[in-house]
This record gives sequence, C-alpha cells and structure tokens, in this order.
Amino acid sequence: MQPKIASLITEIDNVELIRDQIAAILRLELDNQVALAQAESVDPAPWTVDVYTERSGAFESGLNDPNRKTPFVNVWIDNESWDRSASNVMERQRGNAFINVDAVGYGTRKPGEAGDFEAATSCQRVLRLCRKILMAAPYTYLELRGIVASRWPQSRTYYQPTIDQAPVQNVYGGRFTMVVDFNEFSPQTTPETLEVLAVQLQRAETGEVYFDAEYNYT
Amino acid sequence: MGLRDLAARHFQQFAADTERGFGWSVRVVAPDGQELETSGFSTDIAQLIDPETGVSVSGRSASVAIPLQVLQDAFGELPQRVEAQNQTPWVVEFADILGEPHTFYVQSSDPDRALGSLVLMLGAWDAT
Repeated sequence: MQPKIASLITEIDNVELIRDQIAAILRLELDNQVALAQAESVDPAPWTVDVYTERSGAFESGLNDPNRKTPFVNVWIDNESWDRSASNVMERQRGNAFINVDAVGYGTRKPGEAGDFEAATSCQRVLRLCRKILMAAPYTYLELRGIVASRWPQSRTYYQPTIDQAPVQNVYGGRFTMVVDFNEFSPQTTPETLEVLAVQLQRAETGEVYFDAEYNYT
Repeated sequence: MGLRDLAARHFQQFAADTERGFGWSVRVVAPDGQELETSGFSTDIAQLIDPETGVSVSGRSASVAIPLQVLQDAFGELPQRVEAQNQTPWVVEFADILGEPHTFYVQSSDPDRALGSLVLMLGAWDAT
C-alpha cells in the first residue's frame, strides 16, 4: 500500500488552537485590566495574574517567598469528543472539548486579614475574571468564527487543600471548565487536473438555454 | 522517678541544649506583646502543596516544639491559634541555619501533656 497523504502534516488540531486562543484572550484582557486600573490610579494587584498553558511542573515561586500574592491560571485540555450526527466522514468533524482553566490563589495572614480567606477570595476573584472575560459578548466565538460554534461555562469547582501538616503558605485551588463546540478538519485528497474545459451558457430568444463547451485537444 | 518523668525532664534538657544538642533559639510573642526568649526544636522545610488541580505548588512547613512548663511559667497559658482576624496572633520568630530571621504566627497548637511538649504549627505572618 502506498501513502495517500502527500504533504507533511504541520497544522495543529483546532482544539489546541482553541486552548491557545483562550490563554491568549485571558493574557490580553488581564493585561488590559491592569492598564485600565493604572489609568484610574487604582492598585492593579487584583487584576495581576500569571497565565500558563498545559503546565504540569510544580510552581516554585512561593518557595522563597511565603508572602507571594500573585495568583496564576493554567489552561489545559481535559477531553474532547465528536458528534457523528453533525459531522461528515470525509472532511469535517464536529468536536466538543472540555478545557479547564485552573486557578491557584495565595494568602498570608496579616493584621485584620486571615490568610486562608485571602487565598480563597484570590482564587475566586481570578476565576470570576476568567468567566467574565471568556463569556464577554465580543468573544462569543472566541475570535475563531468558522471554527468555534459556541462556548459555554460548564462548571466552576473549588478545592480546599487537605494535607496532614498545614503549610506556611495559604494556597487555594479552583477550576473553571469551559465547553467548546467546534469544527475539526482532516487532510483532504489533493485534486488532480484531468481536463481543461471552457464553457459558456447562452439563452436563446425563446428562453432555451445552450451549453457551449470548448475542449483543448493535444 | 518514673520513666515518664525522666522522659519529660530529658526533653526539657534537650530542648534547652543549644550548644551540643538540637536546641535552637526561639522568640515567642503573645498577643498582648509579652515576649519570651527561649529555645526549642524548630523545623522549616520544603513541602509540596497540592491544591488538587493537578499542579503542585512548592511551599514550606514550619513548626517549633517548646517545653510546656517554660511557656506556662512565662505566659500563664499556652499559645494557640487566635481565630479573630482583627486580633494579633501568637507570633514565633527564629532564624534558619543560615542565620536569616523568619517570623511566623501560630496556626495550630498541639500540646503533648504526657511528655510535656507543645508543638506549634506555624504559618506565614505579614506584620507590615
């Protein structure tokens, strides 16, 4: 059997594109929120968030700084499935992907404020910003019209770390799951020129339609 | 003297021995500002925190063990977590092995009334 796909497959799948687009939108809009806060002479700290994609390594930022405050989000693909009834077997498959936006907030106890409460509210604030940004009207199709059919906030879950020994830092995690319906395309057969053909359609006074065709014979 | 009394006495001796033992200088500050310079066993080690999102966060675990009798004599009560956010917590200060000072607040208190020790689990304290 001979290979049928003649060109190198270099394009990423649309689910990967959507994950990167979600992260890019969050980065762009959060930076803009910081700029807006600064323009209004407001402390931009509540809008300052580090954004990562597909992060699996441990975050070491707090190792030497127990008073670390900057929360972070990690955008990653959880799973995807395809709807056969809305697809065709040749070219286009209608996909449905769950993309998680995980957030971690930090807190430090100080006079008048409990560290665990600060960590929880920091994480909840970040996921609130993520939901508002990703569900904003201008991002109905995540700026990927033709690929994305719809996006929807599936769920928001919070986790309280349960460990035997309380750590010095207060850390609180949460997950915002976006579900996205989109089209995934597959490599197609490269067309081959069989014959060059020139045609002309003419309509007679009687209304009858004539089809003139010109063939190049060699 | 029974073995239990002997063990409690040994603990006090070991905790106080900063010259040849594992004793380490510790400063305890009560919410009312009363201070105690003493010694005990202190730890401050790295610990992975799992926020259950699949990505761990590097953190620290710090604690100090001090003889119950020393704290009772100095303060008339044992340090514990202060729940009210608007009240000053019990604060513990000690230096790491490099000599860098660190300040913590008492996150939880585990008194061992059999051996006579009090283990204080510590959290980050930002007094600024």
